[in-house]
Amino acid sequence: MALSLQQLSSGYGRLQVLFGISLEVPAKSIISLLGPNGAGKSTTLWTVMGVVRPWEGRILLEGTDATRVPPHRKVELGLALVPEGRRLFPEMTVEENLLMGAFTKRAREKVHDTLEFVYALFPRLRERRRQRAGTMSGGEQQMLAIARALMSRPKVLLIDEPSAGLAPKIVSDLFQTVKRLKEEMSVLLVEQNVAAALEISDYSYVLENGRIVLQGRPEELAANEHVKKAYLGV
Amino acid sequence: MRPYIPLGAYLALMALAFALPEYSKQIASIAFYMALGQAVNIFVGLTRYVNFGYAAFLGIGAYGLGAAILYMPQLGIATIPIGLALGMGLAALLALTVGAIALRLRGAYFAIATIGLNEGIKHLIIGANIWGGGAGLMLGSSMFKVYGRDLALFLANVGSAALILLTGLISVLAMYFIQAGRAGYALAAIRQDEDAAKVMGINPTRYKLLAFVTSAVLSGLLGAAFFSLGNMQVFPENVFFIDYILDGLAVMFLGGAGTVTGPIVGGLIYYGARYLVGIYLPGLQSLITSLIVFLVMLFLPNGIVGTLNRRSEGLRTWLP
Repeated sequence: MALSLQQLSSGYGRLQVLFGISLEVPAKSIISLLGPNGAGKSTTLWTVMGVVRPWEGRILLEGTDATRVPPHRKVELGLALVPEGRRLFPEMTVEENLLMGAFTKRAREKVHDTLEFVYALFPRLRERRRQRAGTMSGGEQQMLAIARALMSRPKVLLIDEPSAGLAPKIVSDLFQTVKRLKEEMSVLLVEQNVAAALEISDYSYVLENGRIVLQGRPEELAANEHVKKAYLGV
Repeated sequence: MRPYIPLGAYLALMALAFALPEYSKQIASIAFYMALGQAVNIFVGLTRYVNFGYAAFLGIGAYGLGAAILYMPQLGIATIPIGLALGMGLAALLALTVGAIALRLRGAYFAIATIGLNEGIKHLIIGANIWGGGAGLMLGSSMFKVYGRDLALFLANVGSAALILLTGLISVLAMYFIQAGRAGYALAAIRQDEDAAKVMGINPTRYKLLAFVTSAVLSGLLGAAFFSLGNMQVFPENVFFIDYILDGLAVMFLGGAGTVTGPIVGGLIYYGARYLVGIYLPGLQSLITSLIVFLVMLFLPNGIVGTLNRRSEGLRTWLP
């Protein structure tokens, strides 16, 4: 198992957000975590990274306990996050943002190969590489956010709401690219766009009020009455 | 970034202090504001964190040199390098201890956590009667005895000015080397989005600590050069004086946070403004500090050099 969460709880200050969630991300798969606003999806990813501290439970990375490992060490171990809202470094150019992604020692040694890999994946970024990140369109910024995370050569990539604010055509292109990443790594995808996410997922979890309430293969979830009513609008 | 103009400015002022020793006190006063802004800039400019306990590092540096001169006179002229090393070492130690804990906090929380630092150290020295306690250290007679009258006066005038200018010069170099390396990129990322920086594999505490300790050590050197060497005395109420952080911030923002030419320009203008106010509206010098900061924040948030150097690539290179 590339990543597994066991009975993970966390929150902010005294406010508990996650209540013992368990999920598994097998090697070379796309797993999605779906649910409404405020369910705790982003908190799950920030907790996995260690930026939000876990209260209870365990985080296993390739079978090894990484629950208390600080974020910068997690990146070295092969986790990367594409945060919600992109969170690029707006004053830096596209290429500088990418180089920031290769900050760890493990990533730096192969930075030229990885740069070629992400430019091949997103040719638009190569064209824009001297442009300031803050001046690009939403779709390009999302590409850059994903590419920047890939620069750390992750084994498990966490992606938070990549479809937010993007046109349907751009979302579908972006998701096709994410699907191709499966050959190289595992992806844990957080999405509110349930239909789009189910299309590329191997397995999905539904998070509501900090608890996993449903899980299954995409076709099972697509057929589920609750999912149909609450998320697919059919 | 080519730091030749700011480095040249410090070297030129240093030459001036040696050539015109009768003006060395005025040069030292101007240079004090420049170097203060420069040292504050290494931490505040690079991290955008504010340390309200900053004067503690000036004070601790002054006490390091003061203690060496007063308590180790048998060392002769070696009291100066040893005392400077002691002051900078103590400043580094204090910064490491405080920083390793408090720099885990974010912006405003860090600023609040540091407010007590300056007062804490001051009252420790006064309350526990360390290093002369509330009476401070009077170094004059000791310096005359150890160095001889002429050398002592030369050190207090020209030596102090030169050392203050050297502090500014080293600060420019420190800023240059920090920014040229990986730390510079890490700090730029931390300034723009600290959580995003963390998930790039950057350990923010480590780089903030680097900037904090570097700034503290240079402040220690500045405190020793200005108070112990220049004034030949160290009073707790004078050195642990909270206004110095406000002066440092005013100079830095006036010139441009994060630039190395900024504190030179800012220091010059700030000194000039205080000097003129001192003549025409005596007693109101401190009032203009707040006025300057207020106006700069409203109309020139990037400071003078910061605004100029956004204009063109050439200015960015030559007036870094």
